[in-house]
Amino acid sequence: MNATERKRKYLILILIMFIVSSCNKDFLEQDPQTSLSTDQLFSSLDNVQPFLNGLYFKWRSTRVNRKGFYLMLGMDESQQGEYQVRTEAEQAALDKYDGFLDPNNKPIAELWNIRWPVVVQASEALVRLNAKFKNANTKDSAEIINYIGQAAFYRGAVLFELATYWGGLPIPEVTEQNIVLSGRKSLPDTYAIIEKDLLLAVSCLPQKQGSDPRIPTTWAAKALLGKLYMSAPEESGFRDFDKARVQFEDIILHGGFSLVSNFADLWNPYKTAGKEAIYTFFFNNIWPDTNEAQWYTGSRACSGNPTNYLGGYDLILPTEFCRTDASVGGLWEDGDLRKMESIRYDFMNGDMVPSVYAGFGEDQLLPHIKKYEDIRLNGKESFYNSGKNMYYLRYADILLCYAECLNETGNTSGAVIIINDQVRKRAWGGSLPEDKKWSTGMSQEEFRNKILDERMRELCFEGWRRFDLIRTNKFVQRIATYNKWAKESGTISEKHKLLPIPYVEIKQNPELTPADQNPGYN
Amino acid sequence: MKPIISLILLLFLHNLLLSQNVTVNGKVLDSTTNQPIPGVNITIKGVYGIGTITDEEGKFSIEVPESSVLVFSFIGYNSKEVVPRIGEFMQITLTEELKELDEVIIVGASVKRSDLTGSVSNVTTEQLKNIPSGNLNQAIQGKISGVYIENNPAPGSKASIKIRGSNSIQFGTNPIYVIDGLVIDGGFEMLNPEDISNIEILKDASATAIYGSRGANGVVVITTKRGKKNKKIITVDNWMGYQSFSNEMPLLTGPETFDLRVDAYANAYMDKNPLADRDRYIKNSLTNTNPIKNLIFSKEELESYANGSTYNWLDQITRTGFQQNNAISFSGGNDDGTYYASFGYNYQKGQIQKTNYKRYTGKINIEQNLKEWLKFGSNNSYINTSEKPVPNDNMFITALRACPLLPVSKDYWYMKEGKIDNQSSSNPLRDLTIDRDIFSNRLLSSNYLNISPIEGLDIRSTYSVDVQQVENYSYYPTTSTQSYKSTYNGQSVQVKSKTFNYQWDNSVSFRKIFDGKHALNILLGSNLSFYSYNYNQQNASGYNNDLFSYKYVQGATDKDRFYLGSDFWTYSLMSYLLRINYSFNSRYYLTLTGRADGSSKFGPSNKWGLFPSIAGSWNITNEKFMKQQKIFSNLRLRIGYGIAGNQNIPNYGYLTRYNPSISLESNILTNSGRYGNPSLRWEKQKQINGGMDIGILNGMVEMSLDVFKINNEDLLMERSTAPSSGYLTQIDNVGALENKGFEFSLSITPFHRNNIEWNIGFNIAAAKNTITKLYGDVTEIYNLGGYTNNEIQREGNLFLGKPLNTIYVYQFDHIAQESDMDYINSLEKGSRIIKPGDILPKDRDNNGIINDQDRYVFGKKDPDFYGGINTELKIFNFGISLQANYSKGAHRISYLYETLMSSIGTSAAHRDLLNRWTPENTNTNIPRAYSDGGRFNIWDVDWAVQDASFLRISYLTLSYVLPGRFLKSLQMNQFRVYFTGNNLFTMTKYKGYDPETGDWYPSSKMYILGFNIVF
Repeated sequence: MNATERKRKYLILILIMFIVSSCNKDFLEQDPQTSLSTDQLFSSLDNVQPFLNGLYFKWRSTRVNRKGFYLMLGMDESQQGEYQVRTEAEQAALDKYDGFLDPNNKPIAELWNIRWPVVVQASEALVRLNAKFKNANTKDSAEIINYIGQAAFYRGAVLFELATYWGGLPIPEVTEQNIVLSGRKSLPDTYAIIEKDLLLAVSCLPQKQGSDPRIPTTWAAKALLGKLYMSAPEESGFRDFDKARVQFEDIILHGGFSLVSNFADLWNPYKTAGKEAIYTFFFNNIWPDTNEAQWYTGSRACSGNPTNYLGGYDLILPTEFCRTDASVGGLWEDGDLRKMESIRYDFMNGDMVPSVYAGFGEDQLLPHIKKYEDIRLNGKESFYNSGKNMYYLRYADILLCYAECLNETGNTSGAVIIINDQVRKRAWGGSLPEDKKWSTGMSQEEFRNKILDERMRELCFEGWRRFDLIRTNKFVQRIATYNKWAKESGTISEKHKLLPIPYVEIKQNPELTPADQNPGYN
Repeated sequence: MKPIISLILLLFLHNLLLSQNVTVNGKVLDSTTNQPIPGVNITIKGVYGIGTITDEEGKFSIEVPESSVLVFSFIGYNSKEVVPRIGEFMQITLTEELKELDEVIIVGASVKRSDLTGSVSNVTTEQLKNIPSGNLNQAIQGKISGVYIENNPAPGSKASIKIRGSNSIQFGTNPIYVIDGLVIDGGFEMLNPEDISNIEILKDASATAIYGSRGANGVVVITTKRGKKNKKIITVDNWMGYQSFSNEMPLLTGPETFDLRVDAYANAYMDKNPLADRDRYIKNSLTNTNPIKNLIFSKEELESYANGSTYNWLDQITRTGFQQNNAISFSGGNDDGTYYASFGYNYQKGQIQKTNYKRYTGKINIEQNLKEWLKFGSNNSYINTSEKPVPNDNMFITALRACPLLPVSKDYWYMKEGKIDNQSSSNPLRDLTIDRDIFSNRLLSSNYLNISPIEGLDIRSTYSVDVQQVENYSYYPTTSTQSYKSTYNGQSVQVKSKTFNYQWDNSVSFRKIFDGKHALNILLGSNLSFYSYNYNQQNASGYNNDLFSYKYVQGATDKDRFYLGSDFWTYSLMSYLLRINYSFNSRYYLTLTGRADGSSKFGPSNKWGLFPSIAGSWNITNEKFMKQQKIFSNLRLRIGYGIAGNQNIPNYGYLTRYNPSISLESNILTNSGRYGNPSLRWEKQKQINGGMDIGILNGMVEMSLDVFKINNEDLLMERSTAPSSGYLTQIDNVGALENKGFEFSLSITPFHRNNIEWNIGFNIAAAKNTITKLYGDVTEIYNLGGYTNNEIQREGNLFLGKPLNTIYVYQFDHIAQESDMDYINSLEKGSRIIKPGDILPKDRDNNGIINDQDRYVFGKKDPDFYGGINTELKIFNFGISLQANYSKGAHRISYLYETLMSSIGTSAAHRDLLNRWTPENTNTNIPRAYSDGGRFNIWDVDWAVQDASFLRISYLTLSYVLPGRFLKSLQMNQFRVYFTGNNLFTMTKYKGYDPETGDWYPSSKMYILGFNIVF
């Protein structure tokens, strides 16, 4: 073997080594550089509050844009604009309660789809936080308890929405490793889970509002618990006005909340809701914290100039009942200051003159919803950027709920006093005229009838109406009477109190069959 | 076909029957150097035992039967067939065979073309020379059976290319491109076409097995030019062409549009007020010349109508396009090595104002023998492009749709439709004020070292990089509708990205022939590929003036609405490969390939996949029993089976991931809704392929037929999950897709005299796919979108048992007539209105409800078959060539036609609307004019789906080659001048702009003048 040959053999060896060495195992490990896996996220407590704020963000996004208004369509206080009804059959079904309100209805699927991530991701947090709690030191334990409270609150609140709209729920089993899908749980089981979450939230959350107003307090959890006891369907076994009354009483006596004196201040984006806000979805005019509410509640006739803050596309408008005076069979009594703060009647806005767009509906200049108007944008920015805060729980609502509980538990006169001295008094600017006072001598049944209108006057378009109508069993009767489209179609029935379980869920969840559908939707 | 066949037969007989001997004298020269070639073999086609060779001076003399064909062949040169001309001294030129033509560089190794068993087609420079185009995809369209190319008419844009139809549901149907051994995913069209020596298309699993991990959608192998030993060559290629739109939509004139609008509004009014007086309403409210009293016409429109004017907005934003291509190359070499260097410039001035594209390319390929046993080579391309894309993608359609009564003006923010501003369409004249620029730099470099320590053994290591930087800038000035609508006061968008990929291949190959009969070739290789990408973006607004476009971000004031974004990602692949080629006596061939591929895109336990393949072929012509026959010059059967893989999914699909973002002034961590799937694995494509190659009479007729069946399994897609799982989607291996088809190509040289030559090429291919499984018991997956983001779209839905790319619509029954009204009133149709003159869809399930359940799969977007036809005729120094492409059976949605047909006279309308339904014209399929919504629109039903079959003359080239005697005095070796018409004629029923390229930007025709010089 000569030198050249040896050199060549040597080279062969090197190259064979190349081939072998190039195949090193780590080479195929290319992990994300700009995101955390679930394991990485929960490896540090520092990541948990941003994660929980992410849940808040996702829950809040159920109030954003078109989908934020779907559940307000088809009510006795609000209905779809004419152009929308005419052009979108499935969305129109939310008002018409016709054949298009079925498991294939895609707006309904969207409402279902956007809520589950909050439920499941809160469950994932609870599983991991509970495990952490077991090995935590004292300092960390306090922090973890607070986090558990938040996660339980979000899960309880969203499950409460889901259960109210759909009934018994397929709540999955969540472990650290995986998510096991479930069949529909019975109503009692579903409500037991919600009650447990809210009780956990009550015990874990702080009494005082911290620096970050997103973090709920124990009072917010109590308010929800009270609402749960008064709203849970009878069949669930959780309906108990006395238990509800106790929760509300606690909030009234010890929560430190009060009504702001001027109702208009609640809707003024330059002012705060002071002690009236119990829990709020915060927004502003900068994406991704805008809610686009004006886009859907405003008038197309005002949309020509994008900076006209009255502009929008007529998705949702007040019903005729909700926009007219009691003198003509409508809602509003003389002197009630809430009317002009809730509803927009006049569309003149300086030199931005409304002009009706032919073919886009005859209701462009009928009264519109005013509670979401964001005057900060006027003349400056597109109404698409509207982003006024939305109340989830405010003290006036709690007072009205409390009064309702008093009435249901036999104390009608006590209930009337709350209404007169607090809610209606403020509505008339601080002094309620005698003829507008409710009589403490009214019957329980009379109170029941009147309270629904009062709740509409106080809380219209704030998202609780569906709960109220279902709870009081007035769903079909009031909607068929006051909602223009439901009335025209004449097809609303008791089955519509629950929405159909979306087809996608039944098809893709192996634990569900078409037989699990809510009654009347098969 | 019949005349062609008889012609062929005639020629056969002609050749075989006549046999009176004559003497032929001549001389053989090298085509580029004009030097005589001694030792050239001269034989008579189809006759054995007669032949001669050229002498020292390249001269020859041979006695042959009259009308026989002489075959000139010499090692290193392409052989040539010539029909002798009696009594004339013949001058034959042979062109040197490019050595690399027999070699294909695959990843990490060089193999002989003959070793590529399986289905392989190629295109050579010779075939590309009649197709002057700045874009390679366009140049190879219609040339190769089974390769479906859809061009994109905008300057500098990409074509889509599919090999053997669709073989993946969602992630990747594009082939990979391999340039001198470097694998790139896209951007192939950026190469300078003049640098290409050869393009190889690998279609079946055996052929693509070498690329296993990513070969599932086919492989396009590009070999660029090399220098030649002892031959210094300079080539200059230049062409330029003018471009104009190839099609114009037939639109209603201004006055006709006026009538349409009146009709539409009167119809809507009468529906609501059935007892009203139609004529009176029209007179008072619709045609009233007082603009205040007139409900539907603006003051300007009433004036236009009074003057009989028709405005054309499109003319205001378009112009004549122009393209030019200049390339120069230098090449040469000696015994130690070769070089090739080139420079290219391509410029395209788009037909929409402001658009253009510029590309500079530079290339250096060198190869050097360092030692007797050691060689290195380096292939490098540098590409610089700058592009001004269409300022607003919709502007063309918007300008086209502009109402012809609307005077052209920059004044409006939104386009006006009657008295209404259409807030979703910006004024195209304002769009022209938008600035957009895309700049890119790309370097492709592939470098190898080859060691041959002993005869037959090659050890090769190749390191390649692909680096690309892209800058994408936009500026929406205060004068733009976009800025006005979003109250930006001027917005700049800057996006800069960088891609860096490297690839390291090592291989050992061994080649030996035993006993003179058994040829064995073994290849062992490994590969590492690494891909990285990052970008950053900044959007700034609030400039309040338009002084410096996107170039000076410091001038932006609206800090609240600045947007910043960036991301970084990497992925990697690793493979081992073993390939054995064995052949016996040049008759039986066998190829076995086994490879293991790992991808970082899958979770820890599923990174690796195994991809074996086997292929065999039988060269029947080399059998003894074939020696006597004279008809078949080539007869080969091929069969192969193999598995290829696909991992072309988004990165990190195996993890559930959370990203930070800002909400309410603090960090939040959210997930996009995708649940990690740790059990993700490779998508597998199992393909069986059978083929046959036939050559008749020394290549006078050549045919190739392939049939294939592909079972795609474990298809990767992002699927929706049960919403109650808390995550909406997951990337998963779902379902299966079967794909069957055939490819056939035919080339005939029916006529071949010394100075006259005629070639005809024809190819056809078909591929039919069927979804055979979706996950679980799911039978359909809908593509949701639209207004509510929740409507079932017409395209993109998946149905079990149906093809992949379907169109899902209602069935058009007929236009409702008065007599149908009882039936119509009995139907539940949601909020839809159907009155006489409106579309009545068929209640397919006959349940009295018209809803989504009545929609059905009408047609597919993929063609039944497609292909190309080309022919070239050379007469002395003149040449004429023609390339045609065709496609049959594909359907397409023409948004343009639908829009124009849905016009209510507030925007431009198609002339077909003149035949619309009216109470007097009831025998028609065109619905009545109607200004309100609520009807079934034409796009809801199959009526509007277009048959996109077409036959297109894509290139017609006339050329002239300067004869040798002039060349000498000009010191040139070759001079060719040509004139080409591109896209001259299209035969189609399609109602939109173009059945192939679609509607958003019309295709164009181009007239090109070019020349080509070799020194």
